[in-house]
Amino acid sequence: MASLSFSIATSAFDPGLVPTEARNPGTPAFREAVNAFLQNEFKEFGGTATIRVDDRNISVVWDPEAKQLNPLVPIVQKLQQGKQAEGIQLLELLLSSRPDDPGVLYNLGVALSDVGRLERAEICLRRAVVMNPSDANIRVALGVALGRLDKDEEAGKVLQTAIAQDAKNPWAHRNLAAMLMKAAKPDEAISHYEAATQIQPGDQIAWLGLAEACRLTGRTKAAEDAYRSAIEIDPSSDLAEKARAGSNALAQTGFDNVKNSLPRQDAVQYCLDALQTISKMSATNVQKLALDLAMAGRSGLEVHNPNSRYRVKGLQGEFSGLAMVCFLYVVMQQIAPGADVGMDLSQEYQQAKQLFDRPKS
Amino acid sequence: MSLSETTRSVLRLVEERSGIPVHVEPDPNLPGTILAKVVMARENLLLHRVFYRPNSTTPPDYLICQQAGFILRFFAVPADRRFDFAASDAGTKAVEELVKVHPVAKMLPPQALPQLTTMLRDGLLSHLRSIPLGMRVDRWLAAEFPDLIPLQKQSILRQLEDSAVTLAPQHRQTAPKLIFDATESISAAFAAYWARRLNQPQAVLPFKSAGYLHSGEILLDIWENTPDDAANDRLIVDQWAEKLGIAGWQQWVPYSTPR
Repeated sequence: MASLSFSIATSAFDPGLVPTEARNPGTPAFREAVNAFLQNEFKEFGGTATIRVDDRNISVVWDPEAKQLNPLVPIVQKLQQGKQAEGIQLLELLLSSRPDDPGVLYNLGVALSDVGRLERAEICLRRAVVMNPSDANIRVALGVALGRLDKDEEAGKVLQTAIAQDAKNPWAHRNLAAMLMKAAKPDEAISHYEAATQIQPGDQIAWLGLAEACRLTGRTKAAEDAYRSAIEIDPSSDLAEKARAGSNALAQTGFDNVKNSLPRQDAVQYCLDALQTISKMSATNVQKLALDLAMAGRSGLEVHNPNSRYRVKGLQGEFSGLAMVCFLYVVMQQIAPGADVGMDLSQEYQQAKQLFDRPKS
Repeated sequence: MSLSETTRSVLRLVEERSGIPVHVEPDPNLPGTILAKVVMARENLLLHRVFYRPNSTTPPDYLICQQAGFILRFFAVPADRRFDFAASDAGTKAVEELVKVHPVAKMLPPQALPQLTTMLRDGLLSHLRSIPLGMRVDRWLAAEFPDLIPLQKQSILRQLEDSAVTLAPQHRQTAPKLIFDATESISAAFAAYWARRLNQPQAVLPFKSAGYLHSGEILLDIWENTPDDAANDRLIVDQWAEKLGIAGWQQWVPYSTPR
């Protein structure tokens, strides 16, 4: 067929071709309806139709030779670029010409769910499940939307079904684990988080979730490992910051349990060592050391593992996780007294300071 | 210029049936989108003159044969039933009135209005006659000279493209509604006819979108339900004019045979 190109004023468009409620030029409904009408007309011709409807003109260029690209691809790219509103508008348009397309329904449902339009998201995703019941990803998205709507019981069932359909679906495991966490069942969540991290080791959210579940159930070592994994995946991300905060909270909790309101003498000794070391350093070098210690601690420090070993620029030898935190605490007290390093070592520091300041006999 | 054997045959046919020689010449200065035209012999003009716009990529044979087809159709009826098509005084007056009240009149100097009136009037009336009769000629050419079909298709597709362009807002704004609507309804009839014949269904979409397909189909019904006899050509044109609300804008003037 021959190519086609034309342009008409919006006011010249035959209103009888669109639904009654969409006949007012200049309205979004009109634009969407005209676009949908033209897309539908070209559907049978193949090729590629480029349709532009604005408040004044309707422009159409149709190329019968151009390969029919999957229109979902550029739309999904827009969503990935954070252009949610535009992506949703395009998906709604696409849906008007493909009302039963599970791919369109799924992507639209996910996008709507992500921007909080949950009721519409639920409708789209339920429809997508009906149109393609064998796709576990669609059920996962529905489960997530239902969870966001606080329909937790049904969300859990939908996610269980997704896992039954596809036991190696990491999203199904991770989201079911999240639902179990929400239901205060961290014990049950752990196995699903573990499955998610095994299937997809780069899933930072799953590692963080696993760490939290382990922390809540007293699995300190496993929690520390999981926090560290979450940090290592992308150390500069917000999730890594959350993991650091969790790791610090875990360390503080464990530390408090151990010291039982009395200063830990190993920590006192580490603080004393630190005071002695930095007393021989210039102020500039102390500042550099503070930076190096902080950087070394960005991936987490295993304060409960006496076998952990760390090296840091500016200090000779290897240090345990607890020794590193003590060093950091002491250095920070020199630079910025009262600074929070994530662990309260004030009693140990004070005791070490007294020992350090005591006149040498 | 080397014409195909088919074209030579058609031209010979014209000379035999009309008894008048045909002169074919290129004219790169044909106005607007006109690709070819014919000036039929009359009074002191003792030959038919066929002009075509030369194009280095496409041979002119189809364009020449189509104009020859118009001559053949004209001479297919007895001499006393041959009429030239022209604008009537009523048509001229009607167009003048429409132009006067149209916003475009305020944007032009007064001395330009008669020229605009003539241009709009002649453009519409030429369309009113050439489209229905041209479709008759084209059908005959395709049936009698199938080797012309590829060039015919090429030319028709170009005309379809050109006619879709006329729907653009800038054209709509510069023509009175009655004239614009009539022109586009005729174009829609043309598009509907060729969309079916050439299996190019997309060709009607511009006219459908702009609301002219229905009126175009009505015109096409008239065309299809009128027997394909050159004696009915005036009838088709008059019926189309009536449907378009421009009845009486045209007149049929007795043809002056060459002396």
